[in-house]
Amino acid sequence: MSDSLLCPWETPFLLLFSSNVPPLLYYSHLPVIVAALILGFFVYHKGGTLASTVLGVVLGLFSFYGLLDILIWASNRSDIVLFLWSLQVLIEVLIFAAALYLVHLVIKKRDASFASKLIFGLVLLPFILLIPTHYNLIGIDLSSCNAIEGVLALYASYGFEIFFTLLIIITSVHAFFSSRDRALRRQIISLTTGVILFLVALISGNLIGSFTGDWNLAQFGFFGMPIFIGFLTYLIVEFRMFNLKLIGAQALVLALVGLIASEFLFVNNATNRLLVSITFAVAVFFGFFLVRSVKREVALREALQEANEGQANLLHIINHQIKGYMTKARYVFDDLMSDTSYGLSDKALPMVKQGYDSVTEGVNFVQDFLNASNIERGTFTYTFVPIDFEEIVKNVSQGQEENAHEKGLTYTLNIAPGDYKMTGDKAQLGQAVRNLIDNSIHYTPTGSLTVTLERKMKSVLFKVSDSGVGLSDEVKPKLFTKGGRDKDSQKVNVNSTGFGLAFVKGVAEAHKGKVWAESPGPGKGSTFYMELPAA
Amino acid sequence: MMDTKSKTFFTLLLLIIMGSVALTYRRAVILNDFERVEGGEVVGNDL
Repeated sequence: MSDSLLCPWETPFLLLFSSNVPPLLYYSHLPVIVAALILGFFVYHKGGTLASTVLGVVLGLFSFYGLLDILIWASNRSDIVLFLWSLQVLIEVLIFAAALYLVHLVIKKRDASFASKLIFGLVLLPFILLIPTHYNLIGIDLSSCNAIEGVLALYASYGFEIFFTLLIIITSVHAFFSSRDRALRRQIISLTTGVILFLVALISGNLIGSFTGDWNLAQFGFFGMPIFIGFLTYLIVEFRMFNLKLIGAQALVLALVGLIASEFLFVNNATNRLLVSITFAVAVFFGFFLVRSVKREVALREALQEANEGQANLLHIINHQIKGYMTKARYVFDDLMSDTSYGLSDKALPMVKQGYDSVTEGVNFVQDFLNASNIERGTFTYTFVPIDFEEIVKNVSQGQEENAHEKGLTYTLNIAPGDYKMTGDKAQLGQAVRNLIDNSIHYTPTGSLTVTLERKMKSVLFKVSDSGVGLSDEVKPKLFTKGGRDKDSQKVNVNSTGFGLAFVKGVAEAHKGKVWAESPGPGKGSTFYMELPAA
Repeated sequence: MMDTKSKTFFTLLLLIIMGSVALTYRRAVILNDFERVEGGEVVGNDL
């Protein structure tokens, strides 16, 4: 090796250890590299989905990038530094591109189109081809072994990185506002925050290095990776993302053990070595039990979920069957009442009428359950056609007015003049309106009921106000959930299923609308709102 | 998983990247085709 190629420090020991490497670099890099490598390896091999493969690639590339960083700091050979530094410029951009691909796969839940892959590939191609040229790195400053960067490393790489980061933000923000699924929204926030913090930490340290020549700050850029791993762990444990169940806890323990193990690199006397050894042993011991307890908890949760799903399926089937039997019974009662040829006596007729009413209530009860259950399963189908919501309200109101009067309630229908045309499912919206009025009738022992329809700027507001039992603060949050009713609700309404309002919420959300309820408190009446976008 | 077209595309991209890495190694380590600067002055370029 010619002396003209060497930088002024000793040849590194085992390629990694040299006096030129700031001690903080080992501390910031080695545990992170090990943790990312372990997590990447598990995700790549055990995940089995495209998203987990791409996550494995991101973590693998990052580990390799970190290793190159230590090698560059340690090496005193300018030719090796130039080679590794060139690779880093390439890998850095590839990490950003892979992160964009990962975010797309997780958020959109499908692969990107071949055309978009081809476009991104063609955009990156000149960059890849120019890596071995002077446009990338011009040379090396022998006093520090730092590269003299060309336009590719100085501008193009950061340009690509900022471009990919912006695309990640745009993709996530768009998906966040297009989705009404709370779980998916939480996934989007967690993944994007983790990815962006990781990428911004990586790019900011390097930007400072490239434009000031001070590369000491770049080593702090690696602290973005533990944050990313933290968010990934949350996603894996909470949502079983990337098809992994336990990897979160295992990766956390391994990262902790790796972190403590890395202390061995800096301790230089027997007492400290002993202390680090004890800490290491304690971490391994407790880590083992932590992983074991998490494994048990996950197994229990899975068994419980499986049992719940089985029970829900069974209930669904039973209810479906009961509905069939009850509907048949209703036809029989109806036939008996309407066909005089059966010659029912006046004494028997009220009994048959009572049977008919009871079976009708039973059918409605079971139907409420089935509707809410279908909405939750996502098996409910809607037929969206142009409709007039005013007409639906008027039709439903006619029948419900009779029910209210039968109970001795005052019933008022107020429809403000306006255009109530929109696109929606006539039958399901009718059922939702029926459920809301029905709910108020059931929970208003005496007094009045006012049904109002108003036209807003871009929406239609339907509301039902009653002088009924009102709502406690406790019940408000669970009001529109399946089975979500007040603990005393069955004292007022013995037929309460707790599914009627959940169905209303499902229908409103399917029409990109919303539902809510207001009440001054228990015993003070309540108002239920359903707002739907107008045509 | 991924379709065959995409697999071919990524394999091709990987080959191009490997080719680029090989050429970078040739430039830096075999040919030493880069400027060496000391105290702001170029002290060597083997090409």
